[in-house]
Amino acid sequence: MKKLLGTFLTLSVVVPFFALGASLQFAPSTESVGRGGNITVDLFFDPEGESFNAIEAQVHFPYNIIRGETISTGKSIISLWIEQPNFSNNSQGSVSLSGIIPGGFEGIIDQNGELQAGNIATFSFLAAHEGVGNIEVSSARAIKNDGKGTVAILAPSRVALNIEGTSASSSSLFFADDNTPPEPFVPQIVRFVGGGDSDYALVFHTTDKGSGLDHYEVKIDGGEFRKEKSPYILSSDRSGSIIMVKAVDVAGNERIESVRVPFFYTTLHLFAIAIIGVIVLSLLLWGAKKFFKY
Amino acid sequence: MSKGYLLGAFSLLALLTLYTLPAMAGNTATVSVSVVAPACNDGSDNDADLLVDYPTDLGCSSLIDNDESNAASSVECDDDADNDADGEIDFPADLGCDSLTDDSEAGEAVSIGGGGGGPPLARSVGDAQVFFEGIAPQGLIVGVLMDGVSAGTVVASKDGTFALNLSNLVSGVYLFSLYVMDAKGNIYAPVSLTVRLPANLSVYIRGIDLTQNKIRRPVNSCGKQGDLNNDCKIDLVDFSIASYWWQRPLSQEFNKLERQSLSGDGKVTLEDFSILAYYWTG
Repeated sequence: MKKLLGTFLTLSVVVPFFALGASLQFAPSTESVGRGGNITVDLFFDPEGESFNAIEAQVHFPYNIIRGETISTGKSIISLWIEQPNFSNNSQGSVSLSGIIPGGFEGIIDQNGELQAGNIATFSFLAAHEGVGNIEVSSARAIKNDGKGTVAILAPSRVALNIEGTSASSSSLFFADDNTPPEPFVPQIVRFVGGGDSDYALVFHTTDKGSGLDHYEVKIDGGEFRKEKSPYILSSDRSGSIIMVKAVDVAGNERIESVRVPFFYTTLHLFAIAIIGVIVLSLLLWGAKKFFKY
Repeated sequence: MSKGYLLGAFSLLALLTLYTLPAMAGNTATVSVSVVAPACNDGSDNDADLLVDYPTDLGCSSLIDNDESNAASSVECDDDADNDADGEIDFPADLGCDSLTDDSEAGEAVSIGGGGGGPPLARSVGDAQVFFEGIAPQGLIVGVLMDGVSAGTVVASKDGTFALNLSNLVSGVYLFSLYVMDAKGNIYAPVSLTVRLPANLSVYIRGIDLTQNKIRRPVNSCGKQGDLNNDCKIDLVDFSIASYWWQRPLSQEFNKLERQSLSGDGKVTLEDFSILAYYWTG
């Protein structure tokens, strides 16, 4: 009897930490399609009622049977991405993501007062070859919204895939009906504290509640638009330049905002001003001396 | 009572406590969320003019207009005109309006985009809206951050209540953080709520209690707790500075800053971003 109680006591303390711990969950958990078909899976974060404000995860997929096509973050609870998920590492079959939720996330409150899991990202793959495999979160952690950086290791999740030999048509479903550009935003020129090659940087950020933001492009004066990330470090010779920032969503809608770079006072400028000041003052003193002599 | 029963009772209590704690944690316990169809999208002839909803009823300016009536009104907050030229018309869209009977759209007590400083919030043009109602210490400023960006402020009324509305939003999932700032400039811990705003409907979030939270950002905390550019705010600029150093060796100067304002472990990690997110002011 004592043994039974002891076991129950141990379980009662230990089990809740596993059963109630925050987790990342894929939906659906299984997918079976023919070759050439599309696979769309949502990655959800369930904080189980606790408040978390930062998440990072590594997602792996069997690149020998499926190919990453698009990742949408339009429905994501992540407000600011440190590392926005993309398929640039498609040949390795891995996607890294990390981001923060200022103020913390406890769950999406529904009309019944219940807290629901929140979407992190929606992944779309093309079923390329026949076979079986898993899309899985290989490592993931979240940080509690306590200001101390308390780490919680997230329970793993996976999608079991079965790509059949029969051909399926690609529906290419992603966001054909999204005609809304990303939200308006205000690019800022800020003093860039902490070193680097310059004292100034361009910072920008916007959101897209439809297909989700894909990337930013930056154009300086008459140059070409080039893919860039925030912060964009500015060299000191950019004073007076007009910088245009283009935000592009997954569906290809664009919004362009612009900002004029103010005049930068570099150490060299200040040194030159000081030299000129000294010369002007010396001349004035020399002139005054000469004036009073006569 | 035997030792066995005591152990059993204790284990049951432990089990109940641990299962209940997460549900009780946080600050959303008193909050209720309701989604209602505005008068111009409810399928009813609210003003008895035999015309129903937008665009049939010309008294409706959109599907989220909550007044079908098109009777001319001399009251600024109900006259279908942008009297203060701020791009918003009447209650509840113009946050300068406390009610439909308010005769001034000018918002001395309410502002959009200025609450947490930084650049003004560029407004989206969508068909979703949200109303916040709750209690806060009277006379103090209540601010709301939308996805980490300042979206508006209002002063808590004499009876210790506040009401705030954000309209013309694109439908989707939003994180709202409501906080109180006192006369000295101390910022209190926010109540953070994530809700889904559907198109053409009004979401009411009621029962927000801002009276219980403690000071999170004292007025004298400039340059600390994630304030990397020493401007007394934790916002996109601080996030951008930290992002630059993500997975890079730190410069000597930034290493000093990291020790002063972040976790102090000599590198920029997820824990540092969590500190930024915790003290975030927008």
